[in-house]
Amino acid sequence: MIGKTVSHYKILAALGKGGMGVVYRAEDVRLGRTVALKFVPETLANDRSALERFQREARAVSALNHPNICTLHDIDESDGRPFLVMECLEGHTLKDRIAKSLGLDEVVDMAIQVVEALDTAHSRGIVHRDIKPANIFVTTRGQVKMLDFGLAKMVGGGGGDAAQASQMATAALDELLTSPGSTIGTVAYMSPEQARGEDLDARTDLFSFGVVLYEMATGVQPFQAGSVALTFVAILQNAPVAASRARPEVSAELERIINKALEKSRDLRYQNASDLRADLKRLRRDTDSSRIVAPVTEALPAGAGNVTERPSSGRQPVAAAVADASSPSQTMAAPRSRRTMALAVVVAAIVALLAAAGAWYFLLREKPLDSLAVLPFVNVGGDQSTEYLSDGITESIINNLSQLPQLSVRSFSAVAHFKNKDLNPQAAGNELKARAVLTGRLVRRGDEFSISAELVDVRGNRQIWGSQYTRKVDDILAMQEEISREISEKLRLQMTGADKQRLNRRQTVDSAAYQLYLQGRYQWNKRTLEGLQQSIDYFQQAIQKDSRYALAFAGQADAYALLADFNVLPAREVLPKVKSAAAEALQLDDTLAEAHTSLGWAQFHDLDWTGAEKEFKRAIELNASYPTAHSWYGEYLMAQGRFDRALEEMTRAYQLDTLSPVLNLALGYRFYYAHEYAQAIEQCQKVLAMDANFAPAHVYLGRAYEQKPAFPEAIAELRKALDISEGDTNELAALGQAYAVSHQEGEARKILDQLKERSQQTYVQPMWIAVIHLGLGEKDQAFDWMQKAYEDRSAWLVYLKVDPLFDPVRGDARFADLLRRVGLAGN
Amino acid sequence: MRNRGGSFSRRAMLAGAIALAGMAASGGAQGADIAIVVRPDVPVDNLTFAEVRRLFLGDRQFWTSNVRVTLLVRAPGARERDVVLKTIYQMSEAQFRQYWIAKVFRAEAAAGPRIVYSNEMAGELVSGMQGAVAFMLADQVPKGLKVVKINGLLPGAKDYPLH
Repeated sequence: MIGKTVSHYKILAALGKGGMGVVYRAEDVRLGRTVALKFVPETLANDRSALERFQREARAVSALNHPNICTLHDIDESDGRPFLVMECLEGHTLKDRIAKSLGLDEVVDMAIQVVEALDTAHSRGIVHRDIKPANIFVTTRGQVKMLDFGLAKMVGGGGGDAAQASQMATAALDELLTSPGSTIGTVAYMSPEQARGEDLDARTDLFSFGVVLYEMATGVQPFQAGSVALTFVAILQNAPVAASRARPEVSAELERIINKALEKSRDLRYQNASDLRADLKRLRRDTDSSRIVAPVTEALPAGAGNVTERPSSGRQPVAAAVADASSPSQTMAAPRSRRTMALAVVVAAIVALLAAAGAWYFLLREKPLDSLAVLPFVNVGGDQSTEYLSDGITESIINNLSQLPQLSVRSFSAVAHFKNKDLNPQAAGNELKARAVLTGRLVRRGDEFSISAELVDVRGNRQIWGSQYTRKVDDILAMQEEISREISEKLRLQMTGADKQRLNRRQTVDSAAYQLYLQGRYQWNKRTLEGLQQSIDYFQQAIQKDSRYALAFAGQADAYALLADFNVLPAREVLPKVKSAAAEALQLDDTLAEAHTSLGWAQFHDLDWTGAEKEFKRAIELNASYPTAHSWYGEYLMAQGRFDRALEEMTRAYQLDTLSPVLNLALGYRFYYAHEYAQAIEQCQKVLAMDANFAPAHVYLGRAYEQKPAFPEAIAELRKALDISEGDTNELAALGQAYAVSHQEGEARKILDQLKERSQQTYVQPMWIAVIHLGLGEKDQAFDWMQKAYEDRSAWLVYLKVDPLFDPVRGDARFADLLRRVGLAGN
Repeated sequence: MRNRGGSFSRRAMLAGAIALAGMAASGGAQGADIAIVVRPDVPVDNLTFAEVRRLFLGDRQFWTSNVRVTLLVRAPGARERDVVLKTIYQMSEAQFRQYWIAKVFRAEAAAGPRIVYSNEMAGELVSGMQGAVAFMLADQVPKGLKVVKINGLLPGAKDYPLH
């Protein structure tokens, strides 16, 4: 197209690709001005009625004459294909501007301009319907221009708002299909009524603009989540994280305005753009006047007088904004501000010097801080798509520092329950019995993120060190190492050359692989089938990026292991892949506790008792703070009837992460297998008090009731488990077994039939069918199914010796033989 | 040991939200038949019910030697999904997930079904993707798509199996 003349427009260059198709810069040869041409999509061009509607509505839009709306000069056509002739703008989209962060004054100024445009359009009955930063342009002179006004509806073409909403969602899906787990901007700016496919009015634009305003103020989107579906949920149901939490400088009034724009119910939202504009203008006026009277010291950023160096965050402090202000009233305030500020700087410098001298004295005098807790880094803005980064960075720093033998670092699972809580480092340190506590905050803006970190000596609640980093996402690995190195120095640890080498060791040099690994771990930790499926994909992608990435192989082994644990597949099928992935990890790095733990799990379920114990012990030796190693080793000991040792290991795992339902439940089923039912019931109830929807806790509670026996309570719990798990086969079978032992034969047989039918399509662990037959007194059939379970290496097989369900056949020679083959006869 | 569990409440919330969106999109057309739709260039007009099952179970993966089948399935909470899980898959929600994880693990399928959040979305993707097949309320099938007969019957006919 470049160089061609269409109608009287000479095409000069392609400007980019928009929602409607390619956009070109062109010269209007008649008027001698530069314009932008947008060609409509061919699908629309071929639909006569849609085209007529498009032209009709474009004419209405062209009547919008407002300085903040990009002017539509003309509608023309070339070879039967219509195109729009628009004002050609120079500058950047708001999306680009947000990526570089905006001062709050700029935010309010720009917001007012956008709302002016909305007010004009709405008053003429034109609703934008696709308000997002990419559709808002900021010219080089700072003027805001709304793009594509009214065109979203026309391009949608389908005729209804519901259809329009659907089309936007389709665009989202396209991205979802090509990039699992990611989200698309369009969905993130939808109003609740758009998400529900309802008819729209002008208030939809006000909600979408509320989303934009939140992003302008904080740099993060209020509803963006890890997937399109979760974004829908967030828009429909979740309140965003308070803007002032995402960016502390956001004033209460700006936050109120944002919140009102983001009301889910349109009746509670701003009813028209002019009300929103009035509030924004009042805010601007009040902010300006408060600058004249407010003492500058109050405007200094928190901690500006701190003893430690705090590099600039990149955000413009309010004091600087005052000095730079250009309005007359602001200029009046400036000389006083500068004098006060200079004084403040001198005082701060003296305080800093004195404090530094004092700190130095204490540092020299005191012995090294030998224990550390790294609290979960706060994901400012709560953007779900970067949640894995904040967790991942925390975990990586923990792992890095855990390499130092002279430093005891609390495990990630031990600190995980401090996530999303108001952190008091001293209280956290005391609870975790750590001398020092590291806290951090992470904000992502485009492809950059900023991290602020602070190290606190718990004794005396004294800050030892604090720093701020702004890096590209690709530099995440180097940044983590930098933080670890600085912390080890500040803790005054005497490091050998080998220690330094360990600290600097990278599992991968590929940042993308590392991020995929973090996403995999994040999904794996959810312990859901859905998360498990995604974790397998992510670990596989990480390995594809870096085939020498040991941790990714260990992650893959763990994900496969859970497939057997969840009875998705027979362990017989899964074990070779678990072993192979763990072996690959160990070949690359034989000091990885995670990989030894995975291998131990595989050998345990492959009935290699000696090999399994060796691996579990090695894992604990390498990293005594890895709870999974203690927990799985505890299960191994429990399976052999070594209940006391099992309790020690499981308690250790629990101590490392006291709030984990999984580790709490492990104690519960340890009591159950030890035939200590009252304690099992108590422990399971404790787990359910933490998470009432944790289906396995209902299962073990039901099974403990069954052994008492208290059949009605048992059946009630197992029914709940089945309901919560959405019909999971394991829960269904547990219910069938309870019916069988409680003499409800008809119900038991019905479930038995269902299980046999299910086994035609999905895996049903044979041991479940065996125990139902056992409950019905059908021992021969039970032993047939137990044999099948043995052939499958059923994940349950290892508990044969201790599970109370097998008590009725303990005297049977066939059972003794099975125990012998499993390797449990001599224990 | 069976460390399952976790975010069930989140899942329930998601299902609720999707159900809400689905209800709005489908206009609450309870009881309507569910149509199986493809692009007109898919060389299939009629399938037996057994063939439909094979298709949605991922056992038939190509329409022709060079056109791969892409399954589109509504997100949890939609009536269309409930009908298809009950009649075609004959599985619970959990079993459906288990089925596809196992299938991909065993390399019997390259990927599981793609999720769509409304009938409109399903229709648009079927139009745009070669080989895509979806199911939707029969009264919402967009123009330009082909409804595949089941056992020679179109939606609305007596004995049509998907409703």
